[in-house]
Amino acid sequence: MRRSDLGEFEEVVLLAVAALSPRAYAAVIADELEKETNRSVSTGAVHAALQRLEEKGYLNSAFGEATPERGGRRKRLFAITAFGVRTLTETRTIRNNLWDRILPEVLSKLSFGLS
Amino acid sequence: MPPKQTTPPAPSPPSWLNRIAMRLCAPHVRETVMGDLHERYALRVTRFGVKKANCFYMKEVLGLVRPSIIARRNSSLPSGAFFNFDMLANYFKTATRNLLKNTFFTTLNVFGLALGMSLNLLFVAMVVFIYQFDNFHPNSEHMYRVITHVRDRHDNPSFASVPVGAAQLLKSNFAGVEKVVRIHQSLPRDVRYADVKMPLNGYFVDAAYLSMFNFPLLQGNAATSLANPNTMVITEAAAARIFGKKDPIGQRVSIEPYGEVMVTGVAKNMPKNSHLRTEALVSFATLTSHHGASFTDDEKNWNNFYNSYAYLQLSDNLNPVALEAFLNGMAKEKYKNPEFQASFELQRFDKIVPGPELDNDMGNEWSYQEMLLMGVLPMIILLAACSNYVSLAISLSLKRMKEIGVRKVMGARKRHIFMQFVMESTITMLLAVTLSYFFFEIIRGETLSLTTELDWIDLNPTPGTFAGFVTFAILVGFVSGIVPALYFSKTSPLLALKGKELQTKTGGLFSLRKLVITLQFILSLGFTFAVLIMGQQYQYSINYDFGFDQEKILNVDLQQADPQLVKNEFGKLSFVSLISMSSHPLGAKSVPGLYVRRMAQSDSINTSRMAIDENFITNMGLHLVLGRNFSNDAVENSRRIIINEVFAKKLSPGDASGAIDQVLILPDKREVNVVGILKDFHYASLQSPIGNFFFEYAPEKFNYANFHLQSTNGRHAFQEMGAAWKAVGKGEKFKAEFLADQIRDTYSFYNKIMKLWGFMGLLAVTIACLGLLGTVVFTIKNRVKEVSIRKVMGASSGSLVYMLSRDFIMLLVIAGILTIPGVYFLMELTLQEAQYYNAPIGAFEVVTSLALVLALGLTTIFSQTWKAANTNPVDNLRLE
Repeated sequence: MRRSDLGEFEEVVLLAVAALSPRAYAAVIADELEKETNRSVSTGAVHAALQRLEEKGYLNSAFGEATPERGGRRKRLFAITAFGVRTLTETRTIRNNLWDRILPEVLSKLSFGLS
Repeated sequence: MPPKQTTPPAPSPPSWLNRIAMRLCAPHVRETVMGDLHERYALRVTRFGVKKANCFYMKEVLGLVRPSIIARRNSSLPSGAFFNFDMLANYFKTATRNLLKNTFFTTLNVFGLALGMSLNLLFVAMVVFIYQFDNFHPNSEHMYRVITHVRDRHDNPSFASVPVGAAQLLKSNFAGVEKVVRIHQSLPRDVRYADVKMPLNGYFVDAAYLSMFNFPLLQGNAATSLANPNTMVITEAAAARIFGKKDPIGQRVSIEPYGEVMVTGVAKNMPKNSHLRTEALVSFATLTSHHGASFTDDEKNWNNFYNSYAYLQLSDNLNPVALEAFLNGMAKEKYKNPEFQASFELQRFDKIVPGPELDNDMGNEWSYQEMLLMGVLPMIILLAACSNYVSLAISLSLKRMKEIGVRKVMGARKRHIFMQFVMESTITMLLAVTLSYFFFEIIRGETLSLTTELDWIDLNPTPGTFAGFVTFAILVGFVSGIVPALYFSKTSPLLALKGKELQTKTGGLFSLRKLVITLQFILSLGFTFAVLIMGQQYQYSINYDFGFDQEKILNVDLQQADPQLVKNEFGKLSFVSLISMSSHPLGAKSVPGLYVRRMAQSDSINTSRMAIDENFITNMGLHLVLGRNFSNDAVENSRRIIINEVFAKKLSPGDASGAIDQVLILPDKREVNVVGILKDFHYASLQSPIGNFFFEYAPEKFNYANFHLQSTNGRHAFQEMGAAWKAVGKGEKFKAEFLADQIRDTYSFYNKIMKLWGFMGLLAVTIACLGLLGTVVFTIKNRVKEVSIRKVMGASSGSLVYMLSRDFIMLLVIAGILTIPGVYFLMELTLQEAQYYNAPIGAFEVVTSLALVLALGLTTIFSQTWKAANTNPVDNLRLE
């Protein structure tokens, strides 16, 4: 397998784009992540991540419509590419495989520790 | 919250934060990022309220500081750098084309600016000259002068001089002090050679002087020339003046009180750009051998250090701070009196000229303050010229709005437009400075002759001066280009292309033009008025009735001659009808003051006095009110004085005659009787009021012989007098001046001021008229169609001229109304300070200056408006 250069935050953003598709743009992604993680997420950070992901070819983008609350500025809507989907799936497979290899007793200990 | 949501103007984030955010974002991401920020802000307002949302917004803006958002994308477009050669070439081309297109306005601008710059070029030449002072000495980076800062009760002066012992102390305490040169300025101003007195400037120096400073010797040995007492080095020019063609080496001149001094070396003439410049150097050993060792070692010298200077040359590794510390330690011991404290500083040699203002300096030193002071007047004139340029440039450029719009649409940024305008003004300034150089050449000689103080200045242009001129032009060009440049770089391309700005009635700009014209006419009128007032004062002063005869009185400087011999010798001449003697020329200079005491009373009276002989009162036509004149008996005369009416009133307030025979005690304890009272007359210049004054009889104080001449056939009379002088003059030159001329000379400063201000006024008027001309022409050009249509509809020429001129005439009238009272009060105040008996400022000056300046202004206006009103309207309307 090709070494994936997907950072943790990038991965989450990429997932969010996929989840919010076809209405994924920085403001809603940041908002969504804030809701999910209960931590404040800055728009700048999301933007940076989106740009990197696009450069790497996981995403492509196009201008969307403008709204009054944006001061008449257009949105940049992001959509996940096939390459992006494949990378996400690969990452998920790796994770799943590792999860599956955890022995049941260790797993139960882990879940105790968590709760 | 819901009601808030429905209010029409949705809350928006703080604008300053917005501006920062806009700046931070690179242009290619700006739209999306800003949009997202605003969207989230709106969301947060509904969720948490405005306050919290603002807080979040701030965090968000801070969060933008990351490379991928800030970093600008490399574009393949040509670089927008300020000094891109292609763009510069383009600016240059556009600027020259534009200047050529408006030949009339360009000529006007260049001419006006050149006039305004001419004085500034003098100033620049002066500054360049001053900055080249003493740049030719070897090792000058290791050279220092010791200066003294004094703290006493009254003030804290700093002196260029230093106690004479200080330098030697340093030399004996520090091995690193390589050379010490003491300079003493106490050398008398003249020497005697073959019984003829000659003026000679010089000072005493140590022998090391010639090796420390770069003043090469043409003859003699630099190491030994000044080693012995009574030896001197003299410059080429001074040697030629004193010794003629004779070989100066080995010649002896006598200098009081040091005796015979032998010339042991001839130096090249010292350049003008040295504060050490002089004509003669006499060995310091002369001083010490004449005064004895106490001259340098006496403790009193630490308190009295006029005329004594010390220059040091230090070795590489010696820190001047150590020397200063040592000297100031020394000072603590020497100055125990808390009312007189002093500290010392080592002044770097290259920081002497120009340097800080110091008391008792070497004479040819220029301080920063003096330089600044010289620059003020030229700057005012230049400001006037530049404001013309700026106002015209803005007016003219309004026609170029389309060009600016196109440039902007093609991608020009603010700085490009800015550069375009600055380039244009710089080119104009360079043209102006070239023209101005000719004016500079013309006024250079005139300025140098204006004040004797400037004798020491060399304003012949050097490469440095030219560099200074060009730098000056570029600087002025940049500064005066800034205003139009900023004005136009701000305009939006849309407006520019629509040509909206072409409508010249936009308030701010229009009033700027008016303001410039008004200010310039205020300046012109002010100068004209002031010059007229000065001229009037001068006329008033020299025609003033001083209360005595000043015509036909020739004052001969007695110098060394014996008064009695002069009287005998000149009495033989037929055209000299009466000869008297006096200590001062009457009415020309100030007369020394003194305090006298009355016999019975203890309080003293402030008076002035002059010494005269018995013929003086008759000779001058003074009028005795009471009592009698001096008699022929010299012994008796010495116990008598003759006073004026003011003094008589003081001595005997009720009845003046009571003053006669009162006994006064002079400061030298002499008791004198008042024998006569004279009608009041102006014994001193008109600057001070008539006060208590008396004449005494004191032959030893006579300085002038006053000849009353019959015929005024000057040439012949002077030849005969010259011959008569030979017998009594003891080798001195015959020096004589008419009293009227001496009195006139006292007021020559009015002439100087008039010359200077007159020139400034001329410049100001010319510049103002040029500016007015430019603006009038421009306004008429813009209104050509209007004028033509009015004419077609039946307007008369007269009404058109009136319509076009009205606004400008108003400006002149405003300038007049503001200036006349302002200058009137200002001059009234200064005149009262300057001269006690001054002429009141009359209607004549007011009317003349107003008429002069207004006539020039109106001629300028009418010449153009008349032309416009009388052109055939068909010519202007045909093309529509």
